Parts: sequence; structure tokens; C-alpha cells
Amino acid sequence: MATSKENLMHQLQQVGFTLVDLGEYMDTHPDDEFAIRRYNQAAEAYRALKAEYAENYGPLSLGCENSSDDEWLWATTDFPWDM
Amino acid sequence: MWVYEKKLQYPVTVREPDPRLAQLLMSQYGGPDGELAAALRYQTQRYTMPTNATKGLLTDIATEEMAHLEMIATLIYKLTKGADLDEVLGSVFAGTYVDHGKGLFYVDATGNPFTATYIQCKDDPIADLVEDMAAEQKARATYNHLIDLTDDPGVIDTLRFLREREIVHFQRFGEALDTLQQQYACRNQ
Repeated sequence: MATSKENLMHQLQQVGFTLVDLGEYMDTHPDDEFAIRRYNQAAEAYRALKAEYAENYGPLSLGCENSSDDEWLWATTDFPWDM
Repeated sequence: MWVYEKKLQYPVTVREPDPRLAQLLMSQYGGPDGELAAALRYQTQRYTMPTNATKGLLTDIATEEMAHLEMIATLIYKLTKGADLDEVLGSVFAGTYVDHGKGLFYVDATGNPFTATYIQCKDDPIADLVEDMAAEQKARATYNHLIDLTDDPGVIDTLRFLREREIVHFQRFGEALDTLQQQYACRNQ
């Protein structure tokens, strides 16, 4: 069974936050090898989550695959303030 | 360029409609120390930063501030959406309702429209980064005031996240300032 939309969104928020926070951290700590490793792990996880979300609940951003052949899901799925 | 993601950076939930609180939160939407001011300030200062590290930091933080602007908008939207007109009329939101209905507009808590005079860009990285550090502290203090003025646990949770980010950004700008000052000190030896 597919992971629920809420659960996937929550994971995207968690991993997405890791990328944002580590990205800003590394802007002032560019030689931190541990942070770079951790960032690369999170980047891979984020790509996978984003693909899984697009497959089941519609594209998160332009560049995600549209999983329907006959419906543009960007225009038919909810925006965040209505979720 | 920028790419939009159909997701909030952090969850936003509200207990019930509260147009009074929505009006107060507008300070962080279009007010002097709000998220729009933050995003625009860092976004425009980045072009004349002296290093790629500081250009990167200002780009990344400006981008995150846009996500915070969306979170504040979502809070205001959810707090006004189900409010009936009696609630609106009896609250400080009534004046905003006259001019904008429940549409989101860039004003502060008392209705003053956003102005570029809230921000600065001096083509001087020391002056700009020190301004940015002050801006983060002013935004943190504003979040403190807002947290004092509500008992909605969902709103408080979101505001606490945003307040934490101000503290982290203050730290990052301080580190960037230290690094630049060390680089300038070496050059002047």
C-alpha cells in the first residue's frame, strides 16, 4: 500500500528542512566533511520522496513527472494553504 | 531562477478562525521586520557581495524567507477563512476587510502598507551583514510578541519554528561577517 499523502508530505518537510539548514550551515562551514556527507544522503532521500509523491499525489514542482497521461495534475491537486 | 514546490516548509495548523490574530500576524507578512522585507533585503544585497560564499548565503536565506512568507500567509488565510462577519466586525481585522476582504495584502499589524524604506542595500558587505543581523533579531522579537498574544497551540508551534530560524540566520550572518573581516584583515597586513 502506498504511503499516505500526509505521511509523505511530512517526510518531505523533514528531509527538505535538513537540506535547507545544512545548505546554509555549509555556506559558512564549507570544509565540514560530515555535513557534506549528511547533505548528500538527504539529497538522495529527497529525490526519492519527491518521485514517490509525484507518482501517487501529483507533482511537487515543475520537473516532477506527471503520473497521469490525460490530466495535468498540477492544476487539479491542492495548493499548500488549502491542504 | 526559482522553482516553486507545492509544500509548506513546516506544517501550519490553526485551532479556529481568529481574525484578530490574523491582523496581528500581518506584521510578519508586510510589516517592517516581516518575511517580505527579509526576503527582498537579502535578495537584493546578494548581487554586490564580495564572495561566492556570501552570495550563496544571502540567496539561500532569501529563498527560505519566501517559504516563511508563505507560512505566514497560510496562517492568516486559515485564521480568516471561516470567520463570519460578526467576528470580523468586532476585531482589529475589520479595517483590513474593508480594503482587501479576506485577500492577503502587504500591510503591518495596524494596516500600514509595505515600503522599501524598511530595507537597505549599501554596496558595503559589512554594513549590509550588520543590518541583516539586526533584522533577524527584530524579527525574533516580533515573533516573541506574537507568541505572547495567542494561546492557539498550532499557531504557537509554527511561530516557534519561525522564531528559531531567525536565531539560526543571525548566527549564519555573524559567521559570514567574521569570515569577511578576517579576509579583509589579511589583505590589509
